[in-house]
Amino acid sequence: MIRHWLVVGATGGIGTAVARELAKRGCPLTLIDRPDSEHTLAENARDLEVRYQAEVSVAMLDVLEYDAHARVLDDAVTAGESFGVVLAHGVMWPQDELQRDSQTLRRHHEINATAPMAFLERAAERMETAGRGQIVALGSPAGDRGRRSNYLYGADKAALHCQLEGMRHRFAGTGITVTTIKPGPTRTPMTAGMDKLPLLAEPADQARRIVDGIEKRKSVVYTPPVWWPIMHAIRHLPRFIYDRLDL
Amino acid sequence: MNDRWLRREFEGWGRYRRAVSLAAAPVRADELPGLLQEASAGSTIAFGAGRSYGDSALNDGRRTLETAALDRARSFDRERGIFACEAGISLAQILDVIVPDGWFLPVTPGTRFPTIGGCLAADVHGKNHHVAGSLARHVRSFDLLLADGATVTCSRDENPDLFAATAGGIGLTGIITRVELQLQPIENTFMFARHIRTGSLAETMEMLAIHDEEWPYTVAWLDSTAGGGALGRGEVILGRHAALADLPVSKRARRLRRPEPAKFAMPVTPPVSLVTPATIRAFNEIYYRRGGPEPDRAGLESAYRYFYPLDAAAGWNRCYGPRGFVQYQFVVPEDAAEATVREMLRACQSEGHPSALTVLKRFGDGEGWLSFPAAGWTLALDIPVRPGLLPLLDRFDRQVADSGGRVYLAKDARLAAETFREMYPDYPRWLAVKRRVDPECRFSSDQSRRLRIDDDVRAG
Repeated sequence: MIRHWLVVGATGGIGTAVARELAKRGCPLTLIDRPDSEHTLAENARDLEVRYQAEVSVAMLDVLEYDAHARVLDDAVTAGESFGVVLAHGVMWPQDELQRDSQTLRRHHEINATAPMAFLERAAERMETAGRGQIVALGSPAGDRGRRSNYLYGADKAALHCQLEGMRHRFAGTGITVTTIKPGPTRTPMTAGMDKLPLLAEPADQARRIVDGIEKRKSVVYTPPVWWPIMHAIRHLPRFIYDRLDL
Repeated sequence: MNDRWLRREFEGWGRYRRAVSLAAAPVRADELPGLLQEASAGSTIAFGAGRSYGDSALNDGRRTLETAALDRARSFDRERGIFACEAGISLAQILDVIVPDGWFLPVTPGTRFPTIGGCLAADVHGKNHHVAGSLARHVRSFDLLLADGATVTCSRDENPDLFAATAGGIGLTGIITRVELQLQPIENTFMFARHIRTGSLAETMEMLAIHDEEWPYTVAWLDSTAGGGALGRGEVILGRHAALADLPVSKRARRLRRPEPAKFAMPVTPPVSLVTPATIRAFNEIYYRRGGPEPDRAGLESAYRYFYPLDAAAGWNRCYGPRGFVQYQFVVPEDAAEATVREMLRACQSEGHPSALTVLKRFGDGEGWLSFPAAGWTLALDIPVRPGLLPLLDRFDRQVADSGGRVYLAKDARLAAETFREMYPDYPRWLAVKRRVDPECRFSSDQSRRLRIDDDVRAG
């Protein structure tokens, strides 16, 4: 398994838990998040050092500053070093606002799709130089099929899924693997106040399954795994049935 | 930043009491004073892992601060076994960190999923209470965020009155933000356990009393459905941490194992309770006979299976269906114990409210002012909520109070205000501290209003 991991969105609900799980398995980490989370990043880094005596550094990055992507990567990774990236950042704003306001929609899509896609391309370049690496990003079952209540979030994730699939194709047979994680609803700040959701998974359980999938270099990981049969069924429902369902 | 407060439904672990409040979930402890200020004069309570059974952490129509994301380790002295952390960390996560270095929780309740802050606020006890006391005895110090926004450190030397009022103070003195624990050393994560099947209540109690002398962990499971001469029969479970020499060679290589995740989960709440008098009877009968023909057996067990048997099934509380259940746990002094336990087991049977899971233990001496444990015997009954249960429990309260006993506030969902005052004789001392640090009653809960603690504070 790759040792050095960069976790982008390291103070988020799933990002925090994934960083803990990687540290527990002995990986040195670089925690990356927005400049305004500097204080939280420092606290999280200290937590990992105390818990697992992990080697942790932190870096600030606003993913919308595209020009900063290369600099942050070059600071975190020495040239030729093999490393992994877990892209765990994202937002989910209310769908009705996204439908109503184009600027909000544009920003939402940029945070969830365009900016992380660009970041992953910069990371992939460096992995190509090293000949080894692992790209992991959080997609979503919501990106598997458009659903009336959250298709704009789903569209962001679908874009990311497609990029990851293409990268997997591009790097097939090389030392670079690409893993798409599709977590079902998880108890994180993103789902706060949405307690009508079924089956809210705990972040620590999600992280354990995610890192298990990373270790096995899987292509796609649904977590909890029950989302694979659910989404498989939903994806293949004929449209005339799907459109009548209240999902 | 009002968008930090979202409307959310909360429930106690028994799922009998629920509440809707405006909730905020800070990711850093230093956000708490600001959030408290935003709550202005209104009432706030901390909600951790949602493992108190009743309404201790519920605040209907008011505010709730969710503390589960404040779960960072702060320091760990691996030589001396001193662990400091934020209060929202779960016992499971603490074990995950401390076990590989040969340390264990000094005191643990029957589940590893509550937060350490919640455990201290309830001053929890374990099967080793008769030798180790409750959790507070092993807490070196903690930080407490007070109503005025200041954070103070409390220990036996520093702010000792706040220490005694907060351990067992059920979240009403402030928000615990940091806890420093003295851990106990272990050589491995196995227990050497002995299970003795008993035929009557007298035998169960005698076995517990005899073995308290030599075993650090003792508890009895009771078959709640056995009547007549077999009333109070069950299994006395004795345990000690296994020594390295107890382990076969095959177990020595991986002797310090981290806890494993739950194996099963109850993903939904069934429309009706699966726990009915018939299933309770069947379960108790099977469980009583689980040892097979051997009435006294001993051997090695995983510490996690020993301490946390129910943790293997996540969300087991949903089995009780939409109406939930009440856990009724009380302690009564030695002289009243046998008669009280006998009468309650009989009353549960004759009135059609059998207990699904029934646990008996003898306590040592108690600690904090509102702490539950006190010298005597404690019985815990898990009873599905059905019509007629509440009057029965009111009668139990009367009996417990008259015997000089008390019920456990962290499990309580329905105790009457007057009875509470009879049961907790140190309440006036606690109230004096509460009035000093929180005269406007900024920290209150559905429970504190039901027990009319808030009225007492404001009247002061």
